[in-house]
Amino acid sequence: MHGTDRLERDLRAWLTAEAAAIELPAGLAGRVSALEPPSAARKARIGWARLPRRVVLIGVALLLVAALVAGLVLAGLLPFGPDCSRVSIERVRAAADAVPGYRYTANATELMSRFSLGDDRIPDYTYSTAIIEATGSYQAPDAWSLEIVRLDNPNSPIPPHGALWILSEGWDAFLYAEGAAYARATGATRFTRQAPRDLFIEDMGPNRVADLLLGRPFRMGLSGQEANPLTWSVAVREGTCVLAAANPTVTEEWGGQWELVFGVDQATLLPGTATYRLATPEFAPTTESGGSPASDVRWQFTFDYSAVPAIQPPTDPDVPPVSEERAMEEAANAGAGAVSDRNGLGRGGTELWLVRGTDAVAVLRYEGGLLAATELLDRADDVIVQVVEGEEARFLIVVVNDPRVRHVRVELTESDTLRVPPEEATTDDRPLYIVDAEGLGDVVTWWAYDENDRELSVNPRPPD
Amino acid sequence: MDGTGGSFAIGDTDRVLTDEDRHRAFGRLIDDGLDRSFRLARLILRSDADAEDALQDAVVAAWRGWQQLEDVGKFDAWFGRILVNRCRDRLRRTERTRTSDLSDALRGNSREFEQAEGRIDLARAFGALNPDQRVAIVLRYWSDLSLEEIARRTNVPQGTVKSRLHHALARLRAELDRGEATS
Repeated sequence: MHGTDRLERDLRAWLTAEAAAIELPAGLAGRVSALEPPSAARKARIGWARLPRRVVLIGVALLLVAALVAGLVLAGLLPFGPDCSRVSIERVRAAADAVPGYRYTANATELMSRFSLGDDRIPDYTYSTAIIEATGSYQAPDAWSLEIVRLDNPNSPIPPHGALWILSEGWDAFLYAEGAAYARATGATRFTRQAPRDLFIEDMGPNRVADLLLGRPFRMGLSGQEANPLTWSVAVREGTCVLAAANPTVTEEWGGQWELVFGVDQATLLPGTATYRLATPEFAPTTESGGSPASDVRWQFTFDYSAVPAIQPPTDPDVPPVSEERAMEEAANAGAGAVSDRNGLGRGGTELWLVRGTDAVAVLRYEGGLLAATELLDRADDVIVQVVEGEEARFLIVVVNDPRVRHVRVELTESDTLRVPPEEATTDDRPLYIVDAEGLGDVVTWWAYDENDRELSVNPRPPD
Repeated sequence: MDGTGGSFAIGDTDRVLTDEDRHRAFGRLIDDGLDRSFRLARLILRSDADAEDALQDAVVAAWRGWQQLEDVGKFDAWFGRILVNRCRDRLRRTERTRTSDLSDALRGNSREFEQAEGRIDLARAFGALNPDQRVAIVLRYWSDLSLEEIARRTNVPQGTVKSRLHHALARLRAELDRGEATS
């Protein structure tokens, strides 16, 4: 029997090995570059000679003016663009490299370039979407590092110029940079990175900027004391936090104004979570890295997360700690649209909610009361059948979007066929089903039936 | 890299490109991503000849549509979509008129990775997948694309991608289990 995880792992390994063994056929590059459709060749033959002389003269004049303007800009005589100080990737790299166990991979620059403006310099008000792979060994599942890097200048048009660098040691070394600036600039509310495990970061407004969910209860953040403070909440158990200021202005303006607040968000964390404030005196510059000492000061401190109470799973596994209202709110925030139906089931500290909106069906998985994963299912599919794995439970979900479908028969690998909903009910009663699937195995196939027990052809069709 | 080609200097999109610039840029983008594009096609099609044909078809199609591509920075995703479509079309055709690649047959099982029995089994199981499932598997587990990106590349809803992956994995698992049972 091949489990899904093992199969996926084997698939990746096999495809990687296959790809590595593939040799580019000799001469392919030449053959491909020689391809030129007739339209292009014909276009090339037309040339400048057929253009009216007046057009050519106007073009030349415009070119001369453009060259003059460019010359003035380059000479510094003509101001151009916003006043944005830029921070080189090398400085960011140095900051990340200083965190034990991590360094940028060769892809870092490439990825950073892709998400910035294509060169190796990052404008402070647009860079913050960078996703950078870093190498790092799996050390301890509960150890986390957090680094706040402020890469800005006082004249930057978009406050608060913050960037949140999250280094997770319990995860296969992905580093995510996120900042309020990006969300403000683009209106984006959600970023997803799928590999190797799901990572969701949602912007939830100025007071809850980042919500990092790595398949385990986790929130982190920073609270500043500016006029428009950022507040993130954090619930981790042990690790190291690093605050790094990469700008002398930051040192002067923000020195001593940061504080880390753990478990401050009482609305979303479990009741009773303590709040720990590390105020100004705890912060002291300890290292300097990269650039001139005055322009790149790292402030570092270590905090013993063990002082933070561990998140306790709910004592009664059958009573979900997450309210229906909260699940609906989370689903709407995730982009499901106006909510119509919902269904929730909890087991052993893992809780699953299905919430149907006008645009999508949201699957919300909570671990210990914290949102651990959000997935949006496409409403274009008439019937969706899949297994959702949690830390302490697994569920089978059946989502019926086609009103003709009254029940679904699901064939599972390690049990008999399951009828959803059971005999006494139909999908009229509840079109979102969650079944405790502990020990039920994986889905092999399924069939949809109408009210007369006739098999329906729906999208997507199960395999023949 | 996102699975089909090299990154392009996005800064280039900030200025108006001349035809010659665009022609050169096209050649450079194709060249930069050629190796990876070929591997992608080869993984899906499992034949050097088919992969080469699909790649060349895709390049020609891309060149024809090149002038309509407004944002050069999106070349990778755009060309990736064209290439995947060509691969899928070719796979569907070859399913009807199956041919065997002589060069592959001559090479036999000489590849190192095929020495491992499990990988031979995977290769066999992969061959049992339908074209859509093959494309989804390669884009997900080799190109490492998100479900959203796969949906864009294959022009289907995300739910359909999930379904294809789910059924593909189920089929692979069934094939592998069948192989174990008969061995």
